[in-house]
Amino acid sequence: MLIIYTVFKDNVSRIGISLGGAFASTITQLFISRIILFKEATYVIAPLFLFSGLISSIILGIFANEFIHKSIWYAQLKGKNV
Amino acid sequence: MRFSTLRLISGAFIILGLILSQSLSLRFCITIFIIILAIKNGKKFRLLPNIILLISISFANTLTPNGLVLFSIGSYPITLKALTLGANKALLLISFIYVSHYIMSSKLQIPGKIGALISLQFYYFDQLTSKWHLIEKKRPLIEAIDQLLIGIEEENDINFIKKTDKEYAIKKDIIIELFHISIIILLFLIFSDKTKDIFSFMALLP
Repeated sequence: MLIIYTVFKDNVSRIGISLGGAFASTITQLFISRIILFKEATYVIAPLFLFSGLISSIILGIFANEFIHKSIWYAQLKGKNV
Repeated sequence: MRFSTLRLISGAFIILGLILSQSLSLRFCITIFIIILAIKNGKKFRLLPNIILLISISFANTLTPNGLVLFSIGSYPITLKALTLGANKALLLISFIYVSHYIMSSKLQIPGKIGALISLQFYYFDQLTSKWHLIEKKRPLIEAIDQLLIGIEEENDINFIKKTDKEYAIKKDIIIELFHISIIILLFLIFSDKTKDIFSFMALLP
């Protein structure tokens, strides 16, 4: 997510950043699952896992947009430049 | 050595023990030990989500029948080995969750600017999850989360937290972490083949 934000700056929406983060997270989880937990069976759950990640990241991106617009805490934090 | 680094090393040994453990009984004992460690370090333990995780992974594993058929649900056979393997995987997953709680309880600091950002994220995540029950249900969600974050900010000044995170391990901490690692080794010895030769009832354990 940080890489996407650093590379694309304002050319990518928060939904895009969220999608990128979800994709990276899902791939990592599937990779670990492939090695440690479910071995070959990982490929069975992979499509469902990727799809649910896609949907939840879009919802999260929309939520992040709303939160940033309305949050006093975020505005204060930005003012402090933390 | 920083306390968080010591905890990270200790956690790495525990993870290694988890991966190397193959028998269900040994992994069960290690899981219980890890949960105790996490609770001792201030992490909450909820039985129900773990039971759900255990049951769902165990049953998901029965999709590929393996070993003795215990019973059948219609034409769907529930096999012993598939169930045991599933439980083993579920325990591994539960253990990983609690090991990460255990490592993170030392407020692990990753070096560099990105590391500081990640630590800050962990801090807020930890604070939000531990104080989520305080959220006012009647308020709109965004406003409620905002109020909670403002409360966290007022309660703990971030700069203060950054300072306290940089504590160093003392001799006592090293002894405690070594004790934790030695318990894992002891569990391996208890469930080893040699012990099974001496105490025949141990061989009956899954």
